[in-house]
Amino acid sequence: MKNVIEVKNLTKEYKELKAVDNLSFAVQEGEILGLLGPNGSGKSTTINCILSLLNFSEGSIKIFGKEMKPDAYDIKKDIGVVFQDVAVFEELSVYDNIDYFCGLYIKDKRVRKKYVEEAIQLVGLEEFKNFFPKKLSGGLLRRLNIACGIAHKPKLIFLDEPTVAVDPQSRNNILDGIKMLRDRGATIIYTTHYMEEVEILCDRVIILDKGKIIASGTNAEVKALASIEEKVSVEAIDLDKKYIDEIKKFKNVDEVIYNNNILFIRYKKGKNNLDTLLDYLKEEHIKYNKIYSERPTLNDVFLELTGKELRD
Amino acid sequence: MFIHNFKYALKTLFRNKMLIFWTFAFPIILGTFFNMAFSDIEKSEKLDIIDIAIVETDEFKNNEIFKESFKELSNKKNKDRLFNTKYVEESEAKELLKSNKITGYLLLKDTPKVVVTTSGINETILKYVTEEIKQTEKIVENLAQSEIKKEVEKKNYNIDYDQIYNKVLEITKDSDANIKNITSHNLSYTMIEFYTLIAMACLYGGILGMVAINQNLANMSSNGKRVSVAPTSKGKLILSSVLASYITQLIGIFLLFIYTIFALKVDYGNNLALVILLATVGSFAGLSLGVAVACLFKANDNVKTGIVISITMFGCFLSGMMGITMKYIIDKNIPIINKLNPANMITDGFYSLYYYDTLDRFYFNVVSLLIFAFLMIAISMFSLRRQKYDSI
Amino acid sequence: MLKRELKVNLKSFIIWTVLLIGMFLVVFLVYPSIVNSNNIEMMDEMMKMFPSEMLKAFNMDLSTIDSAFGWLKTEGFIFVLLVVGCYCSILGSTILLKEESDHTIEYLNSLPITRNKIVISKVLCGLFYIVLMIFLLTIFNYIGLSFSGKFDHKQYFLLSITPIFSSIVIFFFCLLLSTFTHKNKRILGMSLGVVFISYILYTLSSLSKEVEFLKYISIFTLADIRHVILNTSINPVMIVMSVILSTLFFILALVRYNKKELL
Repeated sequence: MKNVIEVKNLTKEYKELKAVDNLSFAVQEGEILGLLGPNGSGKSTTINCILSLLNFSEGSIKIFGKEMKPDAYDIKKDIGVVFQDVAVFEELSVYDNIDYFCGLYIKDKRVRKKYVEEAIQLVGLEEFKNFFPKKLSGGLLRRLNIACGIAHKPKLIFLDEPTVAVDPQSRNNILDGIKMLRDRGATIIYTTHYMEEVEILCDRVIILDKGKIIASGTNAEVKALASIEEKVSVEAIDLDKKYIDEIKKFKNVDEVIYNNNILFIRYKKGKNNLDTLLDYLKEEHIKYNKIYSERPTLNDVFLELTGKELRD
Repeated sequence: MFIHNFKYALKTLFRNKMLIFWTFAFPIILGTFFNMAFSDIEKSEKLDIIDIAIVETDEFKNNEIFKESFKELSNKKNKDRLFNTKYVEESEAKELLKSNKITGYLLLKDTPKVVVTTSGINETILKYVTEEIKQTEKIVENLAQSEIKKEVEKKNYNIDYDQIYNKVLEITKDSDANIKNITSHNLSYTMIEFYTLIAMACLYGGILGMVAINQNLANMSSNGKRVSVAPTSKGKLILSSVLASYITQLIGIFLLFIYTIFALKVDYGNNLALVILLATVGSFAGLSLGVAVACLFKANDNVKTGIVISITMFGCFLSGMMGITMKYIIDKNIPIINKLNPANMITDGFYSLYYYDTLDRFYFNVVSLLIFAFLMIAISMFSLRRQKYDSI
Repeated sequence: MLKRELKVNLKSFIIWTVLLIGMFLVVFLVYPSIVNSNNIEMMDEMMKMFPSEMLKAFNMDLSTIDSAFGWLKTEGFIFVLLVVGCYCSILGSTILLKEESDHTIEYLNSLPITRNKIVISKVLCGLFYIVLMIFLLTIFNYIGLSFSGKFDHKQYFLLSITPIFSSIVIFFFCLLLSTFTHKNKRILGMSLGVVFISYILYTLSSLSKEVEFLKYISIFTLADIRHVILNTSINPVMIVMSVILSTLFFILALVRYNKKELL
């Protein structure tokens, strides 16, 4: 599979800090790459450098095998971008906004009309075609924002935190739309600090912190970087301390916390941890109401690697 | 792509209520108030021919400039005639003044002296005209002397008197205009204020020019970012947006003309076509100023708006639009400032239609405005070439 | 909170003050040479040929322009009113609205401070900068005038204070306007419109009886420069009107801001 984007040793410095520090990665054709990281980690800066909107101090950027420049129109015609800020004209209706931005890529009026209608359908704005942006809710506005960025059916799409401050219905709609775009053959770079979205959408993920890559790979590969295997929560009322001390001695147990009648156990690598726990609870006739088990999340990986949460 | 962007730029401008108010409605509202305010003044202003006497001293008889100037200003066939002049002895002049048969008399000996008994408009006109002619005489003398000296130093004894004469003519034209400015029967305060109104309306184009640029700059708006990543030449996008802004501006100016001519019955005289030409070029200059500010200054929208307004206001202030004295102070003492000031180029162009018989000065102002505009556009295009940002 | 406001608004204050002082610097540099030549007497006499109503609009019926102070009394202070008025309108209209456009309002709302406190700290900041601007200009012009000859000090200081009365009303009015919208751009145009229209109405109102009523619509009437020139005292009615209007607009702004849905 060929690389659509190749970033090598990208560095972007401001006076006081390095926003992007010697970043290198590649994006393969047809995949959805997630760029994950807290605020200020360099996600948007990286995107802006790749799109030739920002100067950078060092490094090289190639898209479709060619050097990316501000006037590389042959590359730009196949790129679609959905920025974090809603970028639409207040004075134009939904239809006109999409038509305008699509028109910067597609000259043919008939083709453009077809594309605009399809984009409106993709984001579910058929009922709102003649509405003006100020009449739309936040979620609908985001959908319009996306439609403006992808109406021209680009091969490479950048989505920079497209679901910020969006209602759940709109968010699901957006995520479904993105999957559809991928199914149609687009390569997608998706930046977010919502790990759940990355887990649903992305084939590969890169985690950034302070301008550097701290982890990359598929979801499973990145999660495997976490030194914990499993997290278990048990609702057990008035659990005696002696039981807690016993559980602490179990094999593979990393940490045990009992607070507000919830027993929380973190397991390091190992199998059948939950079975062992359940057997013990049964043996000791410990009453419990609910029990949860979850695998490590990307947030856990990030927390381990940096000591911070992804969403601060 | 050009037509596509142009069409949408026009649409967004016409749907922007604030811009539409400033471009279309505000000048018309202002014009209405001007009309109400100045119509009374117009009715009361009538200038009479002033009765004066000139003492026929030898110095006066030998002074061609004074002699010819007063002859022309007293000529019954001259539509801009100011004086009814008697040429008398000094004693007779004193007698005429004492019996109030004349406003004042001119006594030219070593220096010209105007003798009056009271102060008033007519007395002031006489003094002013005398001073103006005296200044012209000085300049002409100095000019002739320096030109001749230059030729002699070059050892060129075939002096081009025609060239010197033409230069003298230029100076006397200026002097003529200054005199007419003060005393002409054609002087109309309403016209001056309407010309000022048109000039200000032209300069509002700066805001429209700025809007056209901000929409297309990645560091100025989210829309600008989106447009910057599109495969469309920035030059085309900006030109089409600027053209849309210019056309919007022109529509506003033409609506103003239609309203002032048909509703307010303002008479622009035989020069209407030239007035419209100047307004068109002036609008372009105003627009280009806004474009340049938007391209050159790295600041947010509000700061840039403030800069355009400050520069425009300062220019209007220096050209006398906000008061009466500044223009004269600047023109007399630091004329170069107003020669570079687009606000002054516009108003001076209008005044020159009124006060000059030829259109040289008018076209000079038109060409100056065009040069100014193209310079602003060139600077803007240069600063936008292949632009990438350090921060957006 | 007040310290933060002062810091945030410092840059624009400096730019406007430098611009304003710069314009008067040009005047003070140019005027001595004008006065020394014969131009000025001639211009002064020439001005008298303009209709009396036009002279009245610029107070030229009360003062001559044969000195820098004379010019200040005529066009100069009117220009101060306009420029300071523009600054106050921009400041008043954006000082609250900025928090919404910069998306910092969510953060502010999460802090344990009331909306009233937010407004009051911004108002204090605005008033501080307005008064400081006028104060700095007063000092600068005083120094400039001291080099250009004798002038009536009392009249000068009173004239220097008059812009405060119109400026604070403009500030509070624009602050109130800003509570009705969420968009910076929209309000900026409206606020500057208020200033320019006020200026033009103020100038036109003295030109004929038909349009005299315009002075009651113009905020600049509160400055009442003519009263200071004629009586060497500030018109107390205008002070009272200025205080009443400022207080009214301020209270309305507070009420409105507390009800406003902040984005």
